This record gives sequence, C-alpha cells and structure tokens, in this order.
Amino acid sequence: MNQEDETEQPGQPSTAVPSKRPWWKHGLRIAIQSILLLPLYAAILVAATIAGIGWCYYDASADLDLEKVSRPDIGALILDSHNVEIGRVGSLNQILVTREEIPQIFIDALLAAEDQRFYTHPGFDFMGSVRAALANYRSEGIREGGSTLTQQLARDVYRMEGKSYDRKLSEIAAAVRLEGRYTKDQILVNYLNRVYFGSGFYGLGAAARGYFGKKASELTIDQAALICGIIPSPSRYSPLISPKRARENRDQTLNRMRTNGTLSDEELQHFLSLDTPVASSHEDSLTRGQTSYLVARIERELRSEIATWSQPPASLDGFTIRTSVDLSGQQEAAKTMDRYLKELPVSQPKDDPLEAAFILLENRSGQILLSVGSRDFQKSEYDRSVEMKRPPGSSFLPFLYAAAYENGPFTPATMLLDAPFDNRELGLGSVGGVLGEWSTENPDNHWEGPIPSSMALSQSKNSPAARLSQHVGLDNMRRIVKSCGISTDLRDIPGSLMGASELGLLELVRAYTVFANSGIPAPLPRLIREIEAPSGKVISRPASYAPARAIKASTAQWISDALPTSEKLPATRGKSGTTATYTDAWYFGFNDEFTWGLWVGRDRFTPIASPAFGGRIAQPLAEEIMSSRIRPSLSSSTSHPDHP
Amino acid sequence: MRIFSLVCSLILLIIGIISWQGWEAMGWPPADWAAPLPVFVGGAMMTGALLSFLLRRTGLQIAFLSALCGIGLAIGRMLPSWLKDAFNPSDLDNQFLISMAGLCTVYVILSAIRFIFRPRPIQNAEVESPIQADED
Repeated sequence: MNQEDETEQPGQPSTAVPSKRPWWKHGLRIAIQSILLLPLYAAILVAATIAGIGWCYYDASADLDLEKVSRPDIGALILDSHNVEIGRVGSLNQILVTREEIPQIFIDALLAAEDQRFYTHPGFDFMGSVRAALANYRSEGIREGGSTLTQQLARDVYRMEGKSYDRKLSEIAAAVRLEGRYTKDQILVNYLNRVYFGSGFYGLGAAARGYFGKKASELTIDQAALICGIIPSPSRYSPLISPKRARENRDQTLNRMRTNGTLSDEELQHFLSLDTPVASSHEDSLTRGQTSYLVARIERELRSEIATWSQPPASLDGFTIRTSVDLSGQQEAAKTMDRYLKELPVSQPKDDPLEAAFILLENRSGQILLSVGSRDFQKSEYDRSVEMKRPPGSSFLPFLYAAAYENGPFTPATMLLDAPFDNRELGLGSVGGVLGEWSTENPDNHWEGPIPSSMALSQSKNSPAARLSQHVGLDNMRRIVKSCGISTDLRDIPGSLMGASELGLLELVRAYTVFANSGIPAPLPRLIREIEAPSGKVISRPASYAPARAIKASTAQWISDALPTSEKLPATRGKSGTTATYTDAWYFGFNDEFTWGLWVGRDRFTPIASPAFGGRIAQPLAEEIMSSRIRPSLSSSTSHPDHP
Repeated sequence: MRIFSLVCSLILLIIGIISWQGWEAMGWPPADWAAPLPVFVGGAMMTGALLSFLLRRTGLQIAFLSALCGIGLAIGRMLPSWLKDAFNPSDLDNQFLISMAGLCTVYVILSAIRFIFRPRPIQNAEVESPIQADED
C-alpha cells in the first residue's frame, strides 16, 4: 500500500495560494483507492496462503520412496492347504506391459477418458481440479476427483485412501515429485501396469487378456475405450458386472475421442455401433473370482494380524502365507452354488439375482476350509460370509433350547405345549402367524399339543419355542450366544430370542461348533495357518488356545441329538432356518470334524419365493457342496470327542 | 515508514538466520525450507525498504507486498497441521513462523493506518512544498 505520496510535488512552482486539499475530496480519494486495492491485496494474501499450504504438503511428501513406482512388488506368496499357490498379497497379479506394447489408440482413449492434458501438466491439472472443486461444491460433497493419471498413480502406489482434501493435497504433492523423477511415458507405463480394471484384473495386460483374451497391443479402439471406461469405478463398471454401464462408459470415451479429434465422425459411428463382447467365459469368471476373493480376504486377515505385531515388517516381500483353505474345493463350491441357484425354479431378475454364501470350518481349530462370500465375485465383491448380517430365523432355535437347558429346569424331556400362540407377544410375523406357523408351515392347523422339547426342536416348532423363549429371557440368551462366539449384539426385541435379530454367517457357523465340540466353540475362525518369514522362520501361528466352555457338554449333546440327521450326508446333523418373509434361507450342519453354514437370499431383501424354506432351498445346496468332502469312508458318528 | 520497514526486515532476517543456523541443532531434519522462510520474506522486504530511499512509492509497495506474502505463507504453512489438530504452537519451527506472521501483520496494519490517515496534501503551492511525505 502506498502512503502519502500525493503530497510530494517538489519543484513545481505555482502562483496560486497554497491550501490543503478539501477533506471530503481527500477522504473520497482514500476510499476509492482502498476499494480498488483491497481485492488485489486480498488475492495476493490468498495466493500466498495457498502457496504456503502447497509448500507444507510438498515438504511432507519428501519422505516418499519415489523408486517404489517402478519397483515391482514381489509380495507374500499365499498357499492353500495343499500348498497350491492362490496368489500374492502386497503385489498385483499383473501381466506387465512395456511402452512399445501399449497401442497408441489405447493411449488416445485413456487420455480422452481420464486426463486430456497429461502431456502438458506438471502432475496436477489446475483447471481439472477447479472444475472438480466446483462440481463438489455444487453437490455439497466430494463426487469428482479431477485427478490426473500421475495423481492416480501416486494414490495407488502410496495407498492414499479415502476422500478428503488432505488426501487430495498429499496426492498432488506426491504427483509433482513423481513428475520430477519420471518421464511422462514412464509414468504412463507404470500407471497402466498398476491400475485396477475390475474383476480382479490389475494392469492393462491382465485386463486385455481377461476381458478379450488378447494382448494389449492387439486391442481395437472400441475395446480400448471399453477398458478405459472401467477405471473410474472398476467394481461397478466392469463389463462382467454391468455390461450396460460398461457400454455407456465406452460410448462416452469414444465421444470424447471424437471431440479431441482422435476419431472422425464416420469412425465414431462405426465404433458406437459395435457390441464389444467380452471373451471371458462364465466358468473362468467364477474360478478367477474365487481366487481374487480369497486373496482379498487373506490380505485383510494378514493386515490385521500384522497390526498386532510389535515390529511390523516394512515389506511383505518374500513372506509365505500358509492357509487352511482348499482352492479347488472353493472353486468347485462356487460353481456348484452358481449352477444350483440357476436351476432353482424361482424368479431371478438381473438386477436382483439370488445370492448365496457358504462357510466350512474345522471344529477343533476354527480354521476356515471353504469360504464363498458371493455367487460370482467378479460380478459382486460383497462378501456375504463376513460383511452381511441377516436374521437367522429358526436356525437360531438350537441356541434358545441350549439357553433353556443350561439354566434349567428344562431338559429334552420337558413337555412344551404346541398350540396356537399369539405371535404379537413376541412381535414376530404378521397377525396371521409366527413365521408362518399358522399358515404355510402348518396349513392344516394341526397342533401336537404337549410334546417333549427335543421333539419341538427337532421339528422346528415355533409355538413351543415361543413359549420357551418367555422363560429364557433376552439377558440369558445374550450371555449364551456371546459365549458361543457370536459377537453381534442381539437386538432389544423379544423376537431376537427366535432369530429375528440380524447376525453374520461366519459367527453363526462358529457358534454351531459348540454342538460338535461338546460345548466349546471353535477358536476365532481364520484362514491363515502360519506366516513364514523370508528366512524360513515361522513367525506366526494361530492362537492354539482352548476357548472357554460356552455350554455344558450334556447340553451340547442334547441339542445335537435333537437336531435332525441328514439323509444325504452320513453322520451329520443340522438345522435349517427361514425368515418370516422368506427373504433368507439358512442351513447349518456339522459332524465330528466340520461345521458348515449356508445362506441363500437376495441383496435387496426381496423374498426368494413364496414359500421358500431353508430346508428346501438352502439344505440341498449345502449338502451338495459337502457331498464331495464327506464320504462314507471318512465320516464317523456324531459322538463327541473329548475336548482338552 | 522507510526506517520502520528497514527495522522489520532486519528482524525477519535475524529470525530466519537463527532458525536456519539452529535448525539441525534444534533437532529438526536438515534442509527444511520452512527454516529460512523469514529470510526470504525479510530479504524481499529489505529490498523494498532500501529501494524506498530512491523510489519511495515503489520501494514501500514492495515492502508491503512482501509482508502480505509473509503472512500468507506462514498461515498456509501452519494451516494443514492446525486443521488436522496436529498443530503445536510450542514447536520451535511454528514459533518462528508465528513470529514472522505476527511481525508482518503489525507491519501491514501500520502501513494501512498510515495510508488511511495520511495528511491532506497541499494544493497549488506557490513554492516547493515544505511538507515532506517522509515522516519517519
């Protein structure tokens, strides 16, 4: 700001009488100058502040290992129970490509779709960021990223996760450093070798092979545009998951290529008219999906395991992770599941397909032998075996009876009344019946009258169970299920006693092991058996503790004896479950060695069919999956082994 | 105002030199450009202050803009950690930045006051104006 210089006019003689400028004129002059200068100074102050912020983030990025971008990760090798390689954690299952192998048409499509000023910006695109910031401001949230390819590469390499302005600024600082270290072509190649193209394909090489069965250099323009359109949201835009969205994105990319002048009008019309079918077969998709699913699941488990170590390793390179899962069994189970669900005579709209999840545990160790979280992981990455919680319905009844037997005076011989029961007392079902007890499940309104509790459980009678639940109470029930290994809290409603509270498949399967293990639940289920350091030293094994007893051995035996035996699987017992609106069908089974559980339903909570009972929908599928594993020669009786 | 500008710039230079020289001795990692930040701002301000003895208006403008940039840079440098609740005003590097921001703010405020409340100029002076703008 300039001071008082209007006062100085030295050496200018005047004949007029000297006088001070009128005060109003002076004040007006100052006011006008202030109004004109203030925005300029404010802009300079803001610019300096932005520069300071940028400087702060740039300094913070000084510690980044820039060489990591071009250094291929070896990662940790994951082996299944038969020492077959499942994949690698900490590295990507890539087919690396070189600059020469990337066709120019692909680069044109990529730049049109993701970063039009890639060859001219210094790592971040100011105009792109402003555009994204305005869009985010309008939507009152963070919707557009405006990230350049270099920023995306930095985010991927340095695992800058989440959506926040702090993350964004760190990403920009890292991108600027990468631009200083690598040429544009090197950045492009490293980006294309790392970026996720959905359905388990990391890198252009894997995506070209997986989606079209060809090398990257052989891609056509429409195929390149389709692959580029996947990048913004690989789990949603994969052509294996949503062909319609994938095609819309492909068309968008082609239109941008026309706008850029890469395509002529005729070429655009020609490529828009093509179908661009993917070459990946459904069987491939199922098999590959299970591998990707297992790698992701094992990585999650490994990271939480490492987080407990006092000295976590800087890198997982060279580690070997031995797991309990059976890869081929897993892939077979997924195929069986998909085939079975396809053949079910129920409505299966494309936007609300039937889904299923299956878990097989080893009773004594808690090791997970099979874990299928999705019918086809390449189409839906939602892990229903762990992340989903649904009401288990009548498959929860064994725990109600166990709670009753534990607290006495109930025994299997105690008589319970099977007669109409006002379900409103438990808040279950509609006025017409408890879980269909007075309608579909018991269409003749045939009531047994007083029956032994073991028979009530065996026949999954809801009316006696409802009466029993009033004696047990929610507090007792919560205590029992917690000790059985169910960590989810039961909802504070009476119906929770009869399976109306949402629980996870894995925790339910673990809880069922108490009936096979004489009242002791399996240790916390896990996939990792041991972690071996590059030196060969085994540095981690699962906890070999014997969990505390949850229920008496006699209670476990009573429940086990009461549960019906399987007709197809020798020496196994189990319990099916159905929810009131037929949205969930369950089956849990066990023998001396294993416990398994299966859920069938839809993600949108719509009914599977009406009616759709667990015994008819879930049980046959569980038995089919288990039939290859339980053979008469291997099976034994369900007598309980002595537990430590 | 010219003398005041000179004094402020000298103080900033001294803060920056102490900070830069003592940076590693204070346990901070070397070559952190936040350390000599007051030197840059002070240097620019001194350039303006010295120039103002020859070209008064231009020199003082440079000094004023330098101070404005000093405030912005210091605030920008500290803002991210403050937003992340990781700002510790007792850290030496933050103290240097706070000192710089404080001094620059005082300079900017005084300059603004001088600008707004400057004396009314003489019009139509018959002889060379006896009022010297420099009232430092």
